[in-house]
Amino acid sequence: MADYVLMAAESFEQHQDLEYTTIQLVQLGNEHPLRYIQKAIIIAEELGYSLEDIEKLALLAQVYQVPESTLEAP
Amino acid sequence: MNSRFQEERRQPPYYLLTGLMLGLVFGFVLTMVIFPVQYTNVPPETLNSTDKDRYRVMIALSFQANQDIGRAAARLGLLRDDDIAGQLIQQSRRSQSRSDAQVLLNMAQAIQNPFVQPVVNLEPTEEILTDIISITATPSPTLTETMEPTNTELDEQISVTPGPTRSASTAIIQSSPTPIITTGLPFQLTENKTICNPSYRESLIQVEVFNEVGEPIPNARITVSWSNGQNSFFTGFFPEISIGYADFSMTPPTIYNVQVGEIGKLVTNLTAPECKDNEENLYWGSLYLRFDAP
Repeated sequence: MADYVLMAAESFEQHQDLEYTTIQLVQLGNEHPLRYIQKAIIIAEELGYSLEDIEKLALLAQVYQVPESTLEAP
Repeated sequence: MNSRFQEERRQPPYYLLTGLMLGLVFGFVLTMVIFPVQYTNVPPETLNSTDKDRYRVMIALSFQANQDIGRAAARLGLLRDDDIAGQLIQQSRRSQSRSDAQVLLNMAQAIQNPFVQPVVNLEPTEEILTDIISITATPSPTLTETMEPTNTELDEQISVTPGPTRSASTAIIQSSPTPIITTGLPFQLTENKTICNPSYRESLIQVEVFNEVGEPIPNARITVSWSNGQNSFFTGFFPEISIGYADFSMTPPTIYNVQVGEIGKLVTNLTAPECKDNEENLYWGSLYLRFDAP
């Protein structure tokens, strides 16, 4: 799961499309994508992922934590 | 007294059977409907074929972003496929999305030929994103080339390219593609006709390539160039049409040149034709070009 989320984070880093990344993450289940990213960060830390990878996950989590009103603003 | 008891017939314990049946039904409903089993953190090799396909696309998109072939190969290894590159190519052929097909092929080529380094990793742009997400694009150039592949020029090409912005979704420039056996054949244009079909959503250059005995050829490289850009792609990604077929989206009134293979005759001054529908409304048509090996 953590690697799947990392893949989503890696591709998000390139295309910057939150909607597309959300589509990828909801494949994991019914929870909010942010929840999966948070779980992935925990697992990644446990498994000793590189700092660079964890930062990618954290950056994606940050994007989901931005209030919707800010995201929708032009 | 004993005789009176003997007259009463003993009933079998049906209530136990009924209880068992009710328990089974209740358990079935509970586990299948109310609290179905949810598998999490299963290894990728246990996924069903649809999810494996999704997983491969994820790996390919990730590879497109980070160009880390070692990591991509390790991830693909988790699927325990016998022929990793073959699986990627097969999936690209059955992929409904051309952009997905393209990233899968790029990764397959990188797996097959790991010493060919993709040299350009584009900065993220909205054009790329649009191409990745909206799957309206046309087929599938497997490789994208520019004359001088510098980041700056490539970015410019993406933003000003008249037609094939979809090619940007590859975001990969390979210095030497997988060997194409048809490269050295001097293909010649044998048919050039205008297609007026209002059901086409785009103006296309439809190319079909045949060998010397008239059989369609896959993996034939087609190069389309125009005043400020160039794009290369290959036949074979639309087997439902023909394995020798490929197409390219034109942006009228841009003028295009088309060449098949490395030494095929260059067909010049191609542009989208004007067509009229039943109500005499003008629309842009398409071109069909047939190339044959001598």
